[in-house]
Amino acid sequence: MSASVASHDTHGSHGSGDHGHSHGHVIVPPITLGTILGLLLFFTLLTVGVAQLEVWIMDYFNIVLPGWINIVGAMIIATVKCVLVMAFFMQLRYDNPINTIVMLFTILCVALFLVFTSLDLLTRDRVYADKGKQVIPGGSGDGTNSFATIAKKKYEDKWGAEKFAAIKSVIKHDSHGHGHGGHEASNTASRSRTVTGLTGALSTSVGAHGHDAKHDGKHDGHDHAKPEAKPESKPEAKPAGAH
Amino acid sequence: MSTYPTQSSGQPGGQSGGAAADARPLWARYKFGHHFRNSHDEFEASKFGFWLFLSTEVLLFAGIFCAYALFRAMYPEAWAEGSKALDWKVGTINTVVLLVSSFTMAYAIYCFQTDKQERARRMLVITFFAGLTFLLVKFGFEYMPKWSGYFFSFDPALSKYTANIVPEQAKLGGLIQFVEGYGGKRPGKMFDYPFASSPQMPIWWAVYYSGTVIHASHVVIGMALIARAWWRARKGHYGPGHYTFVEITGLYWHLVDLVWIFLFPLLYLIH
Repeated sequence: MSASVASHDTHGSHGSGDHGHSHGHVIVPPITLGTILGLLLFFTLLTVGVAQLEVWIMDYFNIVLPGWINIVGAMIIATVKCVLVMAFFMQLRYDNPINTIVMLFTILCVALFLVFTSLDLLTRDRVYADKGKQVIPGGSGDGTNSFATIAKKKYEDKWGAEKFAAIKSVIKHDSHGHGHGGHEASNTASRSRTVTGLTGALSTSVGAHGHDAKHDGKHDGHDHAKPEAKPESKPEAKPAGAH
Repeated sequence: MSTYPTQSSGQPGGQSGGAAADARPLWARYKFGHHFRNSHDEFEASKFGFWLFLSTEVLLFAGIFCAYALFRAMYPEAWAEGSKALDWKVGTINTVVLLVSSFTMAYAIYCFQTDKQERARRMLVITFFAGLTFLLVKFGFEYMPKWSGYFFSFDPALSKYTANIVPEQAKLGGLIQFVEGYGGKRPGKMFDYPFASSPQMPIWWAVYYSGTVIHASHVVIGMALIARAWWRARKGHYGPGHYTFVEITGLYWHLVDLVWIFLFPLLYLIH
């Protein structure tokens, strides 16, 4: 009896040949690890490439791709990468399955967390109408004296209107190559119908920030040359027909 | 009868290498904890315990992801503007750095399993410096300019703002340049950026900073664990028979990688 125990006990005294299997210490060979790294890098390039490709398609064909393509694509690729890391680098594939069960249960908990928190997202104004409105950080929460307004006013006072516009024109047309590598119009919010407030059926509770979606036409990189006099509370509203 | 270790299997717990005649390396002299039946159980229990801990870590980050998802649903303009303010190239570089470091970590464990001590330590060093690179890129090219408007003079992004550079405010002999109007992208009431289109930008920056700073603090902790593993590896604590601490460190490091795998597309790519 004790002899069979000893064969487990003298863990360290094995030769370097057989420890791989006798104790469940699986040795994942470097070739496998390297392949996984290659796949992970490939998927990273893919996810970046897909995001850039979407921007290019939208710019080139002047169309609007629905936002979910972007999100679902990126999340599927991230999940594949996540599974690769867990299965091979973290060795869940070779491990005691209990560790995998722990992780799956955790993911279930995360899903519950997300679902239950978002359950009332579209019905927050059922009892108190103001719960459905946008909350603007700072001030009284309705946009007056918000942090964004205060910052804007502070620098307008400090610089004066002319310098403010000059500095803004440098800062705000930086999107070439920065951000998504596209230009000003390269996000779905400015290109597609701009949704304000809660997404979904709650368009009535949007309040002062709603504006006609039809006016969100394509605008392109030229518009940084124009003086920008739009009020900041209408973020992406620009006149249609830049083209 | 008993499946517990007998006297003859040596006194359990800690290093038993009291005898001067024992020339075996420390890892070979390691005896499992006295409350375990054998070293296999010890290894498995350690790993299982650490997976339970990792599940709490995932739930910690789930809070951030939950805030991201809900605020994104509520304020899509702020999220579009926010992700546009981040440079996907910086994010991609950091993603590649973390993925490679995950590989070197896994490879270090392979080296310990096959008793390639020197290479194993080298892999730990590479992993450590990859973590450091991640932090430096994050701080130097993202946090610092966005928070304060100060750029490193060798930052490629600086070339777009040359018109707004204030030479009088340069620091460290011109190594750090100040761009007027760029900084102030801060969370909550620290927000000080004059050109925000969406009034909810302070919320975006709050989610951005909470997510990435909590993640970066995990990188720091992981680097400390790796440093300890390297230090003890020099003394011969880890080898084919015993490398539990390296394995656990590896699991932690891979979790850091996993979180970034999700943070990167959510913050940088989805617009």
